[in-house]
Amino acid sequence: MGKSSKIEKKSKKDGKNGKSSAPEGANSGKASRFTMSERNLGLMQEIIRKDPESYKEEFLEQFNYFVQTMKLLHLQPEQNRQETQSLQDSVLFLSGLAKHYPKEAKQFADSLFELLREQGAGLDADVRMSFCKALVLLRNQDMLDPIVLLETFFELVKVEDKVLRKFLLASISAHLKRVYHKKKDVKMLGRIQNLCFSKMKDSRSIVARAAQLVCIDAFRRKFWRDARTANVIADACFHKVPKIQVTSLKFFLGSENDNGEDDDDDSAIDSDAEDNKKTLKEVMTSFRNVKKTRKREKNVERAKKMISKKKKQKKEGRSKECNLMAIQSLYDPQEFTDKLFGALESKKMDKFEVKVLKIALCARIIGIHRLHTLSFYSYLHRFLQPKQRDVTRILLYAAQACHEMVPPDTIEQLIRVIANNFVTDRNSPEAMTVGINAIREILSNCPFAATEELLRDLSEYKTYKNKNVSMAARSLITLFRAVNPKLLARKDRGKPQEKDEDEKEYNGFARPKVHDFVSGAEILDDDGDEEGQGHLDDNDDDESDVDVSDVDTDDVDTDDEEEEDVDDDDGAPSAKKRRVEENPAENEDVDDEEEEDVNDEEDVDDEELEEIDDEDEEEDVEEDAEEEDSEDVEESAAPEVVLEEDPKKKAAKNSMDRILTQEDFKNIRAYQLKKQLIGEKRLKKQMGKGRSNADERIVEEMTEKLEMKRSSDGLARLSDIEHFYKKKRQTKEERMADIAAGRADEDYKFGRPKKNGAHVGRTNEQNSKKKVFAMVKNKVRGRNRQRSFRDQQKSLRNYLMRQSGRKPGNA
Amino acid sequence: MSKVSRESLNEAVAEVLKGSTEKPRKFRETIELQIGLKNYDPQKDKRFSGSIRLKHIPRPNMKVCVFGDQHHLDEAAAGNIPAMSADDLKKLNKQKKLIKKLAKSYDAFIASESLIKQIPRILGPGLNKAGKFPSVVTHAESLQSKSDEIRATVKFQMKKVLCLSVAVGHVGLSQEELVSNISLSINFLVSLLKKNWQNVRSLNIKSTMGKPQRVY
Repeated sequence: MGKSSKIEKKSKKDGKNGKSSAPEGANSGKASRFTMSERNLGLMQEIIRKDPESYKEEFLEQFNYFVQTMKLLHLQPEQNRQETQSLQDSVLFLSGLAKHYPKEAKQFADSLFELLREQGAGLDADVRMSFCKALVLLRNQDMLDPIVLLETFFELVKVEDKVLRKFLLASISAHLKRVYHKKKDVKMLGRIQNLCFSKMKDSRSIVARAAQLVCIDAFRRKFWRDARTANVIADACFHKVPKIQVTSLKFFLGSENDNGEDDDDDSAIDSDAEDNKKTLKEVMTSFRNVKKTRKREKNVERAKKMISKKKKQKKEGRSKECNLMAIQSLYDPQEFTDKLFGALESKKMDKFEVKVLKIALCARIIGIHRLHTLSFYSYLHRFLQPKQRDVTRILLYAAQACHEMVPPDTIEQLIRVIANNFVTDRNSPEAMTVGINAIREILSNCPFAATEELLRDLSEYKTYKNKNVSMAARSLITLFRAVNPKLLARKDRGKPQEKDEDEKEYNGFARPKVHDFVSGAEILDDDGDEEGQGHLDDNDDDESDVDVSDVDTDDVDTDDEEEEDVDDDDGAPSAKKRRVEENPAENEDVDDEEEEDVNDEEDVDDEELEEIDDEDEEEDVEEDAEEEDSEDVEESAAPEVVLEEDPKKKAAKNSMDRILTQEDFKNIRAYQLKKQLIGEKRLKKQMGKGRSNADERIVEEMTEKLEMKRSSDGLARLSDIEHFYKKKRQTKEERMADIAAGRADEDYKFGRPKKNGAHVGRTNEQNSKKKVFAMVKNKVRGRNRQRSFRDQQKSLRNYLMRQSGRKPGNA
Repeated sequence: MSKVSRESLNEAVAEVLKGSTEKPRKFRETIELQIGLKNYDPQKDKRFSGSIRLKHIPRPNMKVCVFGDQHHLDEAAAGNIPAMSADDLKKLNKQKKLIKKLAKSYDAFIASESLIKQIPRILGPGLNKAGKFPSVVTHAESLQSKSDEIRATVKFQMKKVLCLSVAVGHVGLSQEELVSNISLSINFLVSLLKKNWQNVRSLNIKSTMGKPQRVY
């Protein structure tokens, strides 16, 4: 709206300039005065700033000079550096003082704008830069409309000048930061956002790219962290210029090096940083109150450095978190994925890297939003060859794209392809390992896709001669022991145990898990007033109940719907145990209690286990005929119910009749944690006596992984696929690199001897003579201890004499 | 001490019921539980979700459609339950609009075991997008009981915002039934939360047209 009036004003001013041009011509005769003031423009700026009113004349003089040179510049924009130096100085001068003379400032800004717009490309790079800087300065003093400036900046991005582009982008995001933090001007942010969004659709790709970079930066730094920005960036995934596509894809994927370990360490870093902050504070206070020595100073410096390092790491981690959020805030993920997948399948040839990025994004969105894009899986088949470039990544994406809502037959095909291409004896052990690992990841995402035949086939590899392959196969077996032991061969099943599928949302394909009550509520007494400790002890019998029912139902799992209820029964109580582990700090006291508890009750547990074993054997005998078996379950379960109050009913009653308190939940958690501890022990025991350290490691790793899956976005990591139990032998280069890396922080602890300093060229003995006595006292004493016999005799004598009250020395 | 006392819950329920009897509406009002959360970052923390079967059906009027094989189609016809065969579904021809319409016209779907695997292929992603992907039913279960089960099941799922609401009953239920439903769902919800009660900002119950009653 102000634009037209501004143009009017400008033309008016131009007219005025025209009028005043004659006297200025005379002015230029007084060049001496200019040169005088030019020399110390800085000084003059200071003076004028103090008293703008009285020095207006000087300012105007400089201003007129500026107007003159601008005219010259209009006529011949390509002046060399020497000629434009004075102009640059005066621009700096004027922009610094502009806020005191608003009228002139306006004219000043307008003429800068005009020149930049008309002849931006032709100007000398330095002049252009100084103009831009002046404009930024004016904007920071609120002397001009930021929107107009932004538009000019986006125009200027076209100019092929790397430094300028960098400056422009930086200044735009600095401005956003200012608006966001200082002014909290939501309206202005929105306007800028609109401008950027429209610029992203600009036909000139460089402008679109600049706008995209601004948007991404603003999203990362939370200025515009909203669904709208995410979706605009998502649109850029389909831009015709590959570079823009790639930037958008990478934005959604988090970073170019695939979701590495730092993602899962994020929270750890967080807490670490907090710890560090605390320690920094401590260090600083102690430093303040202590004698300043060089060493202490150095220590403080080091502490500070460490903390900044951690902070930086944290920041890097944060950009990863933003990608999850961006993916979650897509308006229509299904549509988006279909389109992206369409782009993948289309005839248009992409570079392989771009293709992989697109596959990655497709997979991640499918995994996170649980979409149905069934042709994606068959599309992946063609890439699943051991010799394929980046095959581990593609396997990872295949695993990430699998979720419970995908029809099992689709997944089954995928697994079969992997198994056929990778897991055969003619392949290298690495390929086999990677293949088995990928299958494990896929199956842990959707266990219903597993078939007995395939699984037994794969578990044959547990005795394979290569350690990596055999361990991968074993970890697959361990997974299925927890998830669905029925599919394994008898000898692989191990002893039946508590199942791990409690926290799952699905019991089978399209069979959502429905709870009937708050899991674990059965441990609470009806009055609910007792202390936790008492509770747990009381409930030992109760618990054994549950365990027994576990055993009963393990083998009959999912045979009949009727038994699902029984299933629910044992599934439910231990649900949530993962969550307990998520915030161990919080539950620490509970943990401790628990551990004690468990230790105390170890004997009891063992007894229980034995009981269970017995039962198990009985079951094994009967297992052949399943129908019989299921009847048996009902029979064996029934007496238990009669014996004590049915835990399930009790839980239902508890969770229905009263509102549970925080205390109650604490008890439930404690109980579940205890059950889990027992469960883990059992899982290890289940491996039998022949279990090795490696087996235990597998169990531990698996529990860890399951936990992680629940806590974060639940996607598989590349490290899971490329997991080799036995480290490959390092080459010489790798070893050298490791050594170099180790040396980087070597001087932290023992550094090399210094090359210069007071101590150089002296022996330690000589050095010690210069030391404060308190420092070497102990050593002197040490020397005392190696006295000769005579000396010892002497001092003993002196001592005894002193004891007896006589003066020593004169025997 | 319990965060929500039994008395206050009783009172609130009574108040809601009173409101609905004082000014009866022309439809059966649903009573819902509205939950406000705190200390929860929906962007960072994992979104929770879980479903629980309430004892008393909160939404008896929910329309459930069966995608059945022959066995289930016959059963549905006998029980007067809306049903569609695989051929009916194929007639939709993956047209987005028709599928959307289908998804809109029912509240939930169930499908026979033999059919469920094909459904994504036949219907495409439409149902999944609407959050109404069918759940499976075997021949052993009766359709009636299965659909009642679905009617009785409520799902707690946190989305992008820190509040959620679920239907926990209707004004036709008695006071005791409502209280047991509500306390069950509160308990379940709180058990889902990471820090249990420390994550709960507020709990309200209200009927469709009535005033909200703050419970916590």
